[in-house]
Amino acid sequence: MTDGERRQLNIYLGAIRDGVPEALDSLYLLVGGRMFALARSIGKNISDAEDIVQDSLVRIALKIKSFSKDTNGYAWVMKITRNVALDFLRKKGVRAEENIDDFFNLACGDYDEDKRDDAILLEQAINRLDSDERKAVYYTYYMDMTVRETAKSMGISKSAAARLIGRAENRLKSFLENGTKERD
Amino acid sequence: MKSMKKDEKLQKSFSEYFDGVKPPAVDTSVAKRIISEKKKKSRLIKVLVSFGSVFACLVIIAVGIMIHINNTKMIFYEEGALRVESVFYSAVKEQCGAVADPLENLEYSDNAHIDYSMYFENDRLCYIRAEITVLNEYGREDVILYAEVTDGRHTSEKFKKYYELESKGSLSGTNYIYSKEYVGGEWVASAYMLTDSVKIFIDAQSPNSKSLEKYLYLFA
Repeated sequence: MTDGERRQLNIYLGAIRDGVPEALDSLYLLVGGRMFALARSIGKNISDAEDIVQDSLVRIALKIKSFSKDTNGYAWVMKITRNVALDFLRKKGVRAEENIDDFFNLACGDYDEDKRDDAILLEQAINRLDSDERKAVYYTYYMDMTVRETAKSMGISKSAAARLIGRAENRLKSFLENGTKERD
Repeated sequence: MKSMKKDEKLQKSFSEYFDGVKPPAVDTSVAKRIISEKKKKSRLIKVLVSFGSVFACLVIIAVGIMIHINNTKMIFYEEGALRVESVFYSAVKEQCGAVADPLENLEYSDNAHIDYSMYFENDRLCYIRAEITVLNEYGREDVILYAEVTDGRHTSEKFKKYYELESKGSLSGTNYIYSKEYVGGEWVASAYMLTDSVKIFIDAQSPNSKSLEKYLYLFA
């Protein structure tokens, strides 16, 4: 998410907090796809993912007072979506887990055709990373976590997380440059 | 809190990648209604504060009525006739804000988990069951909370034992009856409290001797 999009999202969250219901539609237009991708990776099927997204929007409305304007609104929304998804599975009596290895499989089904080729290339690059590198990329680039939060989520030190992220980034850039050259 | 400075090229690639997923059409009406109601609620609170003395008189009258109901003979309905549904917090919020609102902070707390069930007689909600697990500095707390919404005299046979509790207490002017004992290294307590709109029955197990009061206070 770009800095401009983050600022916009925080504005929408501020409006929701001020009691403007229409801001929720704007928020959904901005990050609904990402919420759905996360819901789908945890919920395992489309129908459950749609329910999870809908419940997540309700929870955002209910929990909006706990959102602070100076914090990362995108990370806040994604954390809510993840918690709703895990709770959803627990209530179904299904083991609730976040399978990050399966997450980077978005370029299928009803995916934007114009972006599909680049998406497939990126997925090929991600699949060449080891499991820890994929997790580091997931937490940093998808969940938009800080190095400290990524380290905490992975149960490693902050310096180890920073090294892991740097290594993953270098490998990804290398794969993508070679992949682009081969494609062209 | 700023996020980590990421590689710009990769960030652009990932943004494009994630934004390729099309969000499904979802019904946002419930969420939007909650947002509108929160705004109305904050306005309502300001009005109530400005009529503080009148409100206090109404509460005193309501407490008098509740005490009268408490002393009236109860009519028990059978559990076997009830239909149970497992639900999310959002459904509890829709059906009964008087139960959902006091539990809101717990619901969204990182160290607590709540499972909800609603019990119906035909289509009429009789009571809500919340099974609460909390991990805190004392250890693990396990609480079963029932909130019965039937009219004052009608109550489930399941709740008979609570009406016979002998110890008496009071929180914020709301009376309750309870039992509490120390068993196997933790406090095991039960209580019954009648509030403005619901009958609350609680069973709590916790290393914390004040756990029962903590949950009663949410509704007092």
